[in-house]
Amino acid sequence: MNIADSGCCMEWEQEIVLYHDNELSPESCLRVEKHLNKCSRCSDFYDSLAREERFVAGRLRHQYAAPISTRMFTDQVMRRLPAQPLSASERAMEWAKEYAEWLFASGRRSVALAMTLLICAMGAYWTVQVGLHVEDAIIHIKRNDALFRTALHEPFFIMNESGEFFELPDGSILYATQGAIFSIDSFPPDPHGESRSNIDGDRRINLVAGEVFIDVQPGRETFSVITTNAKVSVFGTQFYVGLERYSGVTQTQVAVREGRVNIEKKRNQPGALSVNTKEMTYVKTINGSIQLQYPQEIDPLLLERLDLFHEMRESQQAPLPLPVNQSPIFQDDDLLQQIQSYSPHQMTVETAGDDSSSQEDGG
Amino acid sequence: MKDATEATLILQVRKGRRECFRPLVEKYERKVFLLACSILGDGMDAQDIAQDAFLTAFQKLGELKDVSKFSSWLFGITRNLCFEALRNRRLAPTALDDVPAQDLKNVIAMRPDDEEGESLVDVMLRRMEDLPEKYRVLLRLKYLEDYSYQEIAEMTDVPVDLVRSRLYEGRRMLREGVEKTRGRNEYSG
Repeated sequence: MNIADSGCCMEWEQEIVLYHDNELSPESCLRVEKHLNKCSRCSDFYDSLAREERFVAGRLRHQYAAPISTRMFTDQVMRRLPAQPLSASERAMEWAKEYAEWLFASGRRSVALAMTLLICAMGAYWTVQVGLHVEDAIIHIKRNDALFRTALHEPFFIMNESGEFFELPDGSILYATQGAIFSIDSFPPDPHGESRSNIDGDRRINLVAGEVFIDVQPGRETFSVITTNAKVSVFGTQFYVGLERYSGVTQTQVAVREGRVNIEKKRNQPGALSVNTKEMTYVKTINGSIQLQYPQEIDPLLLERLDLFHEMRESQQAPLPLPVNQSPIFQDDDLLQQIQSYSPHQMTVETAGDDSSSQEDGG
Repeated sequence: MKDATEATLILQVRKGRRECFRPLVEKYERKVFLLACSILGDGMDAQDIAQDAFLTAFQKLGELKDVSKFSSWLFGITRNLCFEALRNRRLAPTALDDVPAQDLKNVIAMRPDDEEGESLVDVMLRRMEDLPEKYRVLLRLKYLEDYSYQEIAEMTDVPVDLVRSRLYEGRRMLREGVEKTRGRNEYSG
């Protein structure tokens, strides 16, 4: 006995299975549906196929139920990962190669050669002398009012719509909006815990992308926020730093609610200035040259956001309930651009090639 | 997640940003786990294999030449680990009762109401265990998560046409086995 004897028209059998599996084009689906409406035997076959498959599928899912949720599974995997996928020297080499490529591309060949050799030597020295210690630096912070243990240089990706609050070991408060990527690159030793200090002891945030609002605890050590083209230094202040890229321009915006910050250009280009209470400025990179604008009166909307941050920072509550985020939702173009901006030069992004089905504009 | 974003994340992991590996785990966790389930026929061991697959992928990330092929490469690692586990025969049959109740987060229990449906399911499941492996694995993947033929093809490294024909043949064999066992026409009335 086989399926044909059950009464289904032989020539339709395979099509009905494909129809059940959603593997037919819309036109073919219509054809099959028309036939099912006319032919009771095929219709019965389809119904029993669907029913049996549902029962078997249900039983199998029960039998092979995942013991833990995706979130727990991912957390377990991340905890089990070794410290770095590459050794410190391999990583140093990767960065050295990238920097050398940038120099060559800019036409500074002789400098490039010297810099490459210097960086390789530095990388090797750093690995031997320092690398092992830097990898171990753990600090304790609060993330959305919950204790959180992290390592220096480990990037945070902010994906919650309502952003996230961080309290740093010195009591400084940082609020990052959705889309921000930053890391804590340096912090003084935590007297209570197991963290180890960096080499020079200051407080340093590396902003890769997006916006952060910071309320800095006054302290001996300088607090700075580094972007690709600017270093913003403060001693005890409430301020804002945002990094964005548009039309080939990299722009760091800095605004001060209270206090004073110093801004220096990166990459040894001379130029620095101070920005005071209720002022803001821009640092723009255009064709490799960094321009530092004279401070101007702060944008009212940005001031409003800074005031809101000031009010929220006591409770460290984000303005909206944080959504439960089971799977990462990326605004792909933004994230891509932001990760690109991490490198000291334009990073070429490898795409999937011609068989990529997604539309991309300049990705 | 677009392909280019995935490629960028992989490159960033290679540069030492291990946190960039997290979105990749979240994206592929379910497929890797269910692929392992389909090959091993066991949920608890499948989860261990799935974790090992990601760890292996992380450690060997430098060996991946074409970052756009990350998913196929990851599924290949998963399959190899499963086959190795089968070879070692370290698997003990896991009864459903062994899974602690509080850990069953993703259980979708669908029990047929009528007795005829239930015994038919038992027969079909028994029959599935007897099918040759190449049909069984594909059928399990199809039933467990209703993956498309294209997805199943990618996870098992079997061409789509072959997935289509094997799923069809596999179901035929299931029903023929059921017919023989029960000795009557299932589809009448």
